[in-house]
Amino acid sequence: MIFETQGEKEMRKKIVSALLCGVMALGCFTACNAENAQKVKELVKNTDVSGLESVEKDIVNSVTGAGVVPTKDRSGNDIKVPSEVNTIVSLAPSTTRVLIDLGLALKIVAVDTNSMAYKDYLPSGVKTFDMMNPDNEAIAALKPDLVFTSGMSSVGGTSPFKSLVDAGICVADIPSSASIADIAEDLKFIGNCTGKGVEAVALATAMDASFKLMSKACESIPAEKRKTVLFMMNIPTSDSPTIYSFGSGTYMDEMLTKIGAKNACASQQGWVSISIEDAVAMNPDVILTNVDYVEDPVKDIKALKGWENVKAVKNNEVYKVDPNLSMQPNNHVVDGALEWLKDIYPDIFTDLSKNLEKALKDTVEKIKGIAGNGTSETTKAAA
Amino acid sequence: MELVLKNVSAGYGREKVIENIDLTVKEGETLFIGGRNGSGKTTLLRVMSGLMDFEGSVTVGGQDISKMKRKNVAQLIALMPQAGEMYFQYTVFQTVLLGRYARSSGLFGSFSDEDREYAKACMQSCGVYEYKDRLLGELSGGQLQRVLLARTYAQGTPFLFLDEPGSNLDIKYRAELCDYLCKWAEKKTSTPYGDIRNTVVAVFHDLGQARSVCSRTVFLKNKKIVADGPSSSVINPEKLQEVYDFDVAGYIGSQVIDH
Amino acid sequence: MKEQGVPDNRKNNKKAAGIGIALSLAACLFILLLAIRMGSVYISIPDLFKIIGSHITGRPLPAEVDPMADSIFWTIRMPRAITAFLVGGALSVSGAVMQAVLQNPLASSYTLGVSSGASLGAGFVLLCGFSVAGIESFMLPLAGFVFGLLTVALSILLASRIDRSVSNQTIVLIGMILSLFVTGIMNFMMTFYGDRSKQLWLWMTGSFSARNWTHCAILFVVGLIGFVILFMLSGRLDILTFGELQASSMGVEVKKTKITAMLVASLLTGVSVAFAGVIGFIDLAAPHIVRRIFGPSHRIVIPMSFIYGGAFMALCDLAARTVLSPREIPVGAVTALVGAPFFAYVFFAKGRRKV
Repeated sequence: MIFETQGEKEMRKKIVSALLCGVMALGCFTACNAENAQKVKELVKNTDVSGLESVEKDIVNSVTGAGVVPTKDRSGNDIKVPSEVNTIVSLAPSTTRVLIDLGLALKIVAVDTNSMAYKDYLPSGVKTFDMMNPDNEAIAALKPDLVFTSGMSSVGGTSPFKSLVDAGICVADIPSSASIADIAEDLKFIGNCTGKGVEAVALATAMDASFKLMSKACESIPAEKRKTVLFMMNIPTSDSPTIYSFGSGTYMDEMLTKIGAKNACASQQGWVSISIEDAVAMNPDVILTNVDYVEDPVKDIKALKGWENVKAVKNNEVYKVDPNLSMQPNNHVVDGALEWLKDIYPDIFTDLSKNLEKALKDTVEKIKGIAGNGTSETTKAAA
Repeated sequence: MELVLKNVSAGYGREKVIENIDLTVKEGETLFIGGRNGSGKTTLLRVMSGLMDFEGSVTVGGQDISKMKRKNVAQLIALMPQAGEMYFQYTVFQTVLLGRYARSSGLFGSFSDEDREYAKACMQSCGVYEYKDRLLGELSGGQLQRVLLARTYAQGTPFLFLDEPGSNLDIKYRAELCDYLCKWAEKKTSTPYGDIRNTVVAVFHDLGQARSVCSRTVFLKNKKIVADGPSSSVINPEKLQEVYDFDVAGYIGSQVIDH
Repeated sequence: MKEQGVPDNRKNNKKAAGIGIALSLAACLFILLLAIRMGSVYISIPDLFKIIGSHITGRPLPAEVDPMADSIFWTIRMPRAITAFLVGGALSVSGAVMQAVLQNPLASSYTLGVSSGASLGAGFVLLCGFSVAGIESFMLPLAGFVFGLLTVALSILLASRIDRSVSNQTIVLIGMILSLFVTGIMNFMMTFYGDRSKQLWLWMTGSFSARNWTHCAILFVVGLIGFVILFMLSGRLDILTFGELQASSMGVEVKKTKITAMLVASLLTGVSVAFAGVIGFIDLAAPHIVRRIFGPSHRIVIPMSFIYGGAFMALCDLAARTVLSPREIPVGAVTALVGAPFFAYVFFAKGRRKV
């Protein structure tokens, strides 16, 4: 992976600042006053990130709609978000990670059991609940200002959180995202509920920008060199012979498309289960798997009987990928996609990582240039 | 060869239906067992065939019947029970042929041509040979009864026990049945124990049939034998009144009964 | 009426039956071949035989045959189709025998609780992760088989303790009670281990996916032994259908025959459930259809049930994996959906012999 955790933070901050500048520069053309424009110009010169984060929110609000407190959650239910959110419960690991990225880790009082993968970032006394069978009484006892749930907890129509809603607690549901655009909206929703609208917009925009860069890098792959990828979410055995994967209409499928690969299961919609025979007949060029319940899933897949002649097995193109990066619909899908890219088209990956730093530098310069020109015109107009 | 019952008691569950019965049946005899419903006639018949648990001793040819292999008993004694329901549609020929099982010895239970001949003869003597390819479900009650009789004959045993064999038959067939039985009782059957004179033990409700076939009569009442002797003397109005709690003679008319 | 050693009609009947049997065998072979050839990938007959030939003789695959076809057909498709055939056959023979023993056309060895027991065993493995070192890959079928048979043995034992003559009513009732009890235990277990219950459900509804040649071999050996034993009981089973008292009078050791037949039938069902999950209906329907065509004599019913049941199961498996391809329908669902109307038609159509 190209990004170390710390360096990743740095890189993101750079992207945030670069793009925020772009956004605010536009704002300067439309609705701001001279005083703010001056502040922005100075900040852009110094590329001071922390300063940017405290910029007047109403400028940004009017341009991007960030900071508007939502009245409906992502499933369409009406919600009433409290004006101050100090205690948060997150019942989905993807949401937890977003909260951490937005700097809200200390406000988290409880998470679901799977979120404990991030326990290093969470406060020490944080409580855990079972995502599928949440203990509403215990959750209510914590008196949280906001509870984030994911569509996965509500099976069969009636929400298991109804008693929390009836108790007056704000339950915001974020159902499973079907596309990257959905993920972006989810990010903004979380930000707007918690007063971190700006930061969330930045994360979303950074994600989109990264994907644009990746797509552009992969445009050049000729049609016959595009690889077919089979993503296996389990390893089939006699006891459980079905293979689980995803088809089109999922964000993971979109990820594959953006990195120039073809999903072997694209002909089906949503989450799919396929038989061993069909999988072998698909004859994918690459197999990716996020199985982590066995020691060496790559070895186990290559050893499957009857798979010897599958291209991916013959050419040794079976790879394990990090489940936390791809299985959680948040901004880190970028990192997931990059990991896949490294496995599928390693040459493009190397080029891209070299170019990404350069591309970001270029963006900052361009925006600085625009902000410089615009400021002088505006001050003329105000005067 | 004799069939000897000593101090036999039997029943279903704790209730005994017959108690302390002593009875000896000699080869060549034709025995009628009479009594009211529930007096234990069927039970007695089943005990004598070795088909029920009992207390006491039942021996055939000196051998304890409860210790004998089923097949060996089946070569000596054949019981034709009351007709029941049929689920499986065998042909008449297949059904009668199955009676030869006790005599067959093949590993896969196959029947020889000899068996088939024997079965054919039995069917002819019961007048069912013309239906030999019909399915059981296509037969009338009377035809079915005669088929089962043919199968019982096909078992080729010297002892033939029958539980109400004429119940579904019309008068003509009943008369024919009695005729077969009488003729059959005069013959002998060869068995691994030598030639044995044919013996009939039967339960009838029709006293006329009983008289025409059986020379000896035994009446059951209150779990015991209350009469045992030649039919001509035992079947009299007083005895009938005692056994059936009812003026049988007056009901039937004196044509049938000897005074 | 001619005086002959062998009745006239018997020759004709035998001939008709012979033709019927030959036709059935041919149809069965055709269906089996179809089941092997059809699927998400198709193969021609010459290629198929080239692949089979190369594996049997040990010679390398001819160049014109795609090695991918070899992988798919020899390693994946053939064992699957053959397992389906063997399981269908074993279940049908078992069903035929149970119907005779219990004198009930609706009986099957599932009546004795084999399916609940096997599901409980599977539950221990799938839900609790119970396993014995060294045989992990066979843990599931083994557990299913052992528990299935234990339940049956328990049924028979209890029935014979309660009722000396092991009457059919007692057997059926005990089997039902034990089934319900065992299912209750399993449901109780599922409350603790709920997250893997989908896998258990999938197992219970039956599947032939991912079967390999080892499964076929075990099924073949057990199936053959069971088949031979039950075939040898044919005559006695015929007699048993007339009632136990009558059978006893005709010289059949009723208790011994019944228990032997039930145990062997349950063995066949147990091994089938172990390798394929609980697939219903074929054990009920195939014997009926066979009796309709060939009559109730077990010398013919037992082998023909195997043939018809096997072919039908192979067809259902074919449907299960092709109709909604690449999705798979559980085989148990197919057998019920297809089998039930077909069976109703055969059973209730007028002008046919009853059973």
